Amino acid sequence: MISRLASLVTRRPWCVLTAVAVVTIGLGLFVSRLEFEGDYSLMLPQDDPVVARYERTMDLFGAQSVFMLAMAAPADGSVFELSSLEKLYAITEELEAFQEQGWLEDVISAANVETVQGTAGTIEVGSLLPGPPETEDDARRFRERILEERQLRDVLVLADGSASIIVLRIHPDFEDREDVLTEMQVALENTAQRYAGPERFYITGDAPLLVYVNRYMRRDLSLLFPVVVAVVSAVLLISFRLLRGLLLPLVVVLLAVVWTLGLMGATGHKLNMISTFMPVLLVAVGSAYGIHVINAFLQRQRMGGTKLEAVRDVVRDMAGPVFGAAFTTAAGFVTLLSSFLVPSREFGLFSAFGVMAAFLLTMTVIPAVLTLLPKPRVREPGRLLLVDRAADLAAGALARRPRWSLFAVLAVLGGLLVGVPLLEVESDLSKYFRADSPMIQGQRFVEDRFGGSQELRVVVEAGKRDAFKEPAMLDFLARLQAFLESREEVGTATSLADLVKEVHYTFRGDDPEYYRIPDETRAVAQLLLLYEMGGGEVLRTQVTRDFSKALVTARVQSVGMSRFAELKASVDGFLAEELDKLPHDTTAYVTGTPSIYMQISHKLIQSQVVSLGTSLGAVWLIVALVMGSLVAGLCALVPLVVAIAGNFGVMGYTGAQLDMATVMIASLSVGIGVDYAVHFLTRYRRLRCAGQPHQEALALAYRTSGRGIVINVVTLTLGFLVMLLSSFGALAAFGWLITLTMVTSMLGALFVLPAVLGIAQPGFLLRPSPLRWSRGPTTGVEEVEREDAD
Amino acid sequence: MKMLTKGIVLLGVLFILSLSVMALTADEILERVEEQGFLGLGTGHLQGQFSLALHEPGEEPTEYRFRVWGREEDDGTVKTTILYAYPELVEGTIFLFHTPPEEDARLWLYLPALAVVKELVGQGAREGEFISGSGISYEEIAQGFVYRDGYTSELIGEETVDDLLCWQLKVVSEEPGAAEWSLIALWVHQDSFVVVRAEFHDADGAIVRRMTASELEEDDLGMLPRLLSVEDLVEGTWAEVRIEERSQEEIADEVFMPERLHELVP
Repeated sequence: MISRLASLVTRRPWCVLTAVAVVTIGLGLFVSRLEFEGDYSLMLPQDDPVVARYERTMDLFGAQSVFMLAMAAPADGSVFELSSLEKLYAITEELEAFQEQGWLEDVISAANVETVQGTAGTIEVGSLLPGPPETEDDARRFRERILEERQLRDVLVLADGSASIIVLRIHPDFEDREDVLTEMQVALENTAQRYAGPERFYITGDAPLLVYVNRYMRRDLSLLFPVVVAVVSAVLLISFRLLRGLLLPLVVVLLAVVWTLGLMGATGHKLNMISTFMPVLLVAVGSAYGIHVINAFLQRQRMGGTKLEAVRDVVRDMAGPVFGAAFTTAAGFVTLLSSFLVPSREFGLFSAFGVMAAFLLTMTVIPAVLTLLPKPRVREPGRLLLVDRAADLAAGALARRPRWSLFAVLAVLGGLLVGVPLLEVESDLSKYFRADSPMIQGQRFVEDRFGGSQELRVVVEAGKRDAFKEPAMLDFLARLQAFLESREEVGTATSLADLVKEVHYTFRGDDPEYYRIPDETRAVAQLLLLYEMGGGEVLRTQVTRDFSKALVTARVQSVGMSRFAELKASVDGFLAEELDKLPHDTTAYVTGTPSIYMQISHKLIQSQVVSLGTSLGAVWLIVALVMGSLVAGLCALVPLVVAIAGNFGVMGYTGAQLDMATVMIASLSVGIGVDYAVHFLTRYRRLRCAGQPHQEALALAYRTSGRGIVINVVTLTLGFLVMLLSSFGALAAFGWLITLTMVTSMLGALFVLPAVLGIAQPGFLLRPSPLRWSRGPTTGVEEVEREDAD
Repeated sequence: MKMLTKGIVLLGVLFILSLSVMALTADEILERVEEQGFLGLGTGHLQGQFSLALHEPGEEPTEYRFRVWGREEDDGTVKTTILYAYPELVEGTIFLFHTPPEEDARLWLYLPALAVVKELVGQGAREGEFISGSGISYEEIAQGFVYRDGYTSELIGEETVDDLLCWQLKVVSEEPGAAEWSLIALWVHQDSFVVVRAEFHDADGAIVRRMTASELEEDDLGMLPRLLSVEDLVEGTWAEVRIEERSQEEIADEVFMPERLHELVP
């Protein structure tokens, strides 16, 4: 089959190139259809029970996604000043237009919120002021009213006048509409810009998070991709100093990127935060295949013979090894399908496709073009005497003292493994941003002043109509609120109990003794009726229309997953203790954005364990099959285990978190890093089979495969380091961690694996591989001898 | 001959009457509609019972029952008292409405569980929903639906709806965005001046609310639709108001006095 391929590309190069062009154009048409997806709730499978609860809660109580626009007073001013209040009212009115448009479910601002006021004989439900403030008296009255209102003071306006906030609740139909959210965000930014000075404005909430994710994904793609192409071009140019050496591998990876993105577009998949860096990855990984082929071609040309012979030989000799490298890499990616997270699955699947596409294109386009181009003028490669000397020294040391070498590695590894328990899991999307992002600055301001920017929701279900008019049930809601507010992570908590207490208090002529739930269900029902008759609305965000289910909402700070988990556990504990005391078969559950994050965290750990196990298992089997030995498969895992353990240890020590991006490092490094072990093992085995003793075989393997492995690692790491420019802090961390893992994989393959081989001396080393292409064309001795002669 | 003369005179009268009816303008039709009120208060005074059921898809309907007393005073003030007879939790709650001509209405509420009467002040109270989710305001329950305030109307033809010959009217907001609806399409039964169907359009022209009156019957006070259905086409909910009985018995003054509301027994 490989011979047929070699024959096809040399006899009919134009047919091959035309076929590639047709497929590229066909798939390329779908690239423009590719969309971005930043919705975190879609990261979990839609049948996940936590997602199901999240969706159900949204059906019952409305959208959970909000924009928050905070207005900060100048250092020497107050939002109670007339000029600031005028702005608050004007902005609220502007934003209400989006409610009329249907995009927003609610615009909650001190300028439009309804409160209950009363005298001995009357009761009124209405706004704080009859209209926008026009005089200093209006401003003074507004301040007085805010200070009186428990439900508004420090919730919508801070009592010290330092800030106020407008909360915009997205209509459920538009919660995942990127175009609508982006337009809202732009409108808010314009509003903030127009009204800024001396007041400052901050935008935060769940909804802008989504907008920023989408914005940054686009920015990353448009920045990182050209940079990685430039970096790889530079590496290719330095390596080959030949135009075709630069262009051919580059064209191949660009075509692979087009094919992969086109396939995503054609199948209706979207780019997410993780898959945005797939083009970068494909360029970095895929270019290595082209480098191997071009390098082999130039080597053949140096050895003499015609151009066509050289091309055919290259296809015959390189198809197997490059396929092996691509296949193991793709297998590593495919194991991400076992992940519990949708973005990781999609990333794994399409990256695997991209890698195999890069292989296919490398073995067809490059030979076809080389066939058509005139024979190149080849230069002899420069000798790297120092490198050769280092290789000999390392080989000698490892051959003489393999146990010492292994002990040293194990000691370092042990030290790193101590750091693994320090590893933190993080899935709070806001933690993926860089600290200087406007989104994070807004979040910090709101959390500092208003106690939280995310909503934790507790749904309580009594299973009986009108249950939440019963004093016992309302008292429970009040107790739950108080419990939540007692936690450090929680700012304020709200529920129907607040409204009932407020109406009761007002109904009794503002007598503080009556700021409580009435003693009778009938009294509660009638007070609520009074409130609604007065023009108020019992918010459907707090209780269902039949009063059988209620919601307690807590504004929570972005405190990270471990604190969220503690908070949830404490709420679960409270519920377990209290629910039994309630009438009816009352049940309750915790939901909201943090619960989605927590589930993602949970799934991250599961995904890590399963995908790591699967990828190691898959790689072991593939290598065992290719090399005809189960022990060989195990040997190939040695550098990978070193690299992965080292990676987790470094993450633990440096505080780098296990998140949606870094969770993939282990699987990726297995897929990519195994190539180094396979290259080294194959060459070393050939040399041993050819009768070379251990030390000589090591030295020769270092000079040949070792050099190739180092060049490959340099190319890859330079490509991955481009990720440091990402707008997402998490992807930047991914960039340096995967770089580190590639380097440790290489060190594992070049130093730990030889030590293990030296100690164990497994029998497979002296048996040739059962697969012809795995045996390879040469042992490498000839190349080294030729170089020495030169 | 006399018979013939009588016949001609009768035919003449009928012809003139029919001409007068046919010559009604859209505004005159709506005036007659509004005069009747929703429960038929245009007759001067009445008392009756009606029920309201709120429907949500997939949910059990929420039911309410009411007793109602209404009277038009000599000075033109319309007084309406509505007593909640069901459900049990709000049974005995009373809502009193005084609407002087050309002035804002005053509203009082008596809560039996707290034994207190409070006056509800503020615009929200007058315009708020009668029962949350019903789409019907207090003013509409007490005085009927209003189609002329802020709107201009046009008679666009005739159409038969459920075997009832109706005028078809187009009621348009005088100023875009100023009124709640951009357009209301009405079908008014020609014999009874009952609106048998109304479709309310939002600013984009979409029908967002539909009202249908059915089971038209004649009682001592005239024609009335027994059943009124108001659909919220956006939310998918609907409310059904059924007029169970009404009569024209004399009503004591105390029924309309805020300080005596607690004496009304369900």
